[in-house]
Amino acid sequence: MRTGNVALVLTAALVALLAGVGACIVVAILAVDVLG
Amino acid sequence: MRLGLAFLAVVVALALPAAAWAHAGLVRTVPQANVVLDRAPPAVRLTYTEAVEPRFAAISATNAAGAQQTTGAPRRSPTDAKTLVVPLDHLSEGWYLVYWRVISVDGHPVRGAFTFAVGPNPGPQPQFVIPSISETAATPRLIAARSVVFVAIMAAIGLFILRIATARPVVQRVPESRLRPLDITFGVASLLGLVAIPVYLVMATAQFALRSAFDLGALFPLLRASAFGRGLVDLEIVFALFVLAGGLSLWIDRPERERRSIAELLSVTGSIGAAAAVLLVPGLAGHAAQTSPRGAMLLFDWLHLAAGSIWVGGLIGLLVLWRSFPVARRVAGLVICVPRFSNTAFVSVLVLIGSGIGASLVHLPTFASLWQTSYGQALLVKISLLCVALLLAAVNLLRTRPRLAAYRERPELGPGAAALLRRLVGAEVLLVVGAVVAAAALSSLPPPSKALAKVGGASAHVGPGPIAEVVTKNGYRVELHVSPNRAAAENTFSLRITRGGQPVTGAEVVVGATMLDMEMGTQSYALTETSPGVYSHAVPALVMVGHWGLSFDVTPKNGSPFSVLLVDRANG
Repeated sequence: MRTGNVALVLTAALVALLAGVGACIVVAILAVDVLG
Repeated sequence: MRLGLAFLAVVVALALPAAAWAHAGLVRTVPQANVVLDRAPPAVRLTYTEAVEPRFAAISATNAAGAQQTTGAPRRSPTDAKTLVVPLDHLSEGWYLVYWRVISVDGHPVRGAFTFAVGPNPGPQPQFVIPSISETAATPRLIAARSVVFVAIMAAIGLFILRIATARPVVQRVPESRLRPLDITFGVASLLGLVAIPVYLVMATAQFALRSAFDLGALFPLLRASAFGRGLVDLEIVFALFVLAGGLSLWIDRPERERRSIAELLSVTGSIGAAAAVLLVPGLAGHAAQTSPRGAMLLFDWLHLAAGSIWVGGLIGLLVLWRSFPVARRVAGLVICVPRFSNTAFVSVLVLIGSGIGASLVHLPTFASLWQTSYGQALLVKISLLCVALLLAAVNLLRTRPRLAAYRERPELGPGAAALLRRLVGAEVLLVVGAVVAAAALSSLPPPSKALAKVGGASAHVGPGPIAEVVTKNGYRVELHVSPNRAAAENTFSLRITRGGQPVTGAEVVVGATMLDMEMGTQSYALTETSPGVYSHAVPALVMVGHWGLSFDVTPKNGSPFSVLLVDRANG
């Protein structure tokens, strides 16, 4: 795999991971709003 | 530090019981119901059990001719968030009807009405035409939109899990097999969900605000005005993040390599985290977060949705795989996928049943409420559909799977088993989707009131219309009268208590009115002794049409206290 492709795939993976973390943060804020 | 505090706040909140009243109940009115005032009030002030959003509230005050007397829209009181204020025109002598409608935190509309008069000589109370005071969030259009939201989200999550975990080895073991059709189906389900959530949000907001769903200019500022709306906006955001993470995971994934790369593992972790977050939102925005114990109810809700997603998405994925395999390789592909999916589906179904039973035990106060309430009836429909789907799943597990497993030794069994699998899975998908529609109706209905648990001990079922009931308890003879026994009107509660033919004087008598069709708390009033052994009080107790539990708690001066419970049906 070329270096450019590796960087692209790693960036995509990090974006996916951050999206997951972002989703959890949004739900945590909603939980504090509803339950707090 | 702030995240830690937020986490602590959530943990503490989960440990605490939910508010006793899940629906907005009217606790105080100014002017008081049925009172005759000396001078015209400048405004009507209504205080509820929770802070209701004034932009979704409707409060009208009309005279005997039906002419509107309010001069502005309802506003929140600057001194009390739970009080709504609506200004009035200068009222002349006569009777007035106040009609109100608000939206509870969980999105259920609640309505009621009462009258008052401006004196000194308002005359007899006229027969007001009271607008309908029963309203539901479970309209067919809203249930249809909610069903599409649920089916799309659950299918997208289930398809992602099937594609990334169950079906992945097929590419290595079955030549010419592809998983692209599964990716496309995941994309279609995701797109449907992303469109359906805002459509449902707009439709629900339009119903709450009593506006047209096409009046987007007016509706847009209201979308996040209710807790229900905020939950749906968050669902859209979280689901979009899941679709992004899931789409990237599928793009990165190289199923032809058995071992996953670091990038694949990172992206799948993000996607699973986002999927888990998506499945928590409906519980936070619905009944689960309003029902005690909230921690257990949210867990049941999450497990139920996760298990249902794996089942329904997996079934749809199996159908897609069945079609996408080359005909010559179809059975070989199914031999790999079906046993792997069966194991996952079996565990999912167990979790689905367990979490469903757990939630039902908390939501249903009595076994009879399963068929006596709309909530229970919707639950019965859902259970029935799932039972038939389970029968089909059992046939797949006991007949189709062993035949596919024996395919290598007895290849003649393969095509028949594959054809049977397609028919059974097709029927199973329809049944499970039907169960999701029933679940959408279920979550739109208010769960039965906990007070229903007491109904078994009721002395009588009464109403509609004036009540005249005689009950004997602990040697006391109690004559009960409620007149006119109508919602939104002043009702006179009266008890004549005798023992051995003699009036029982000096007793303490408290009447409690509890809404049985939804959680609204109990209103209690002390009755005063108006003549020896006769206790009465006139109050605007029954604020809604429906079933009420009327409890009369009597504490005689020299005797043991006792209670009489009536189940009353009040009309408007």
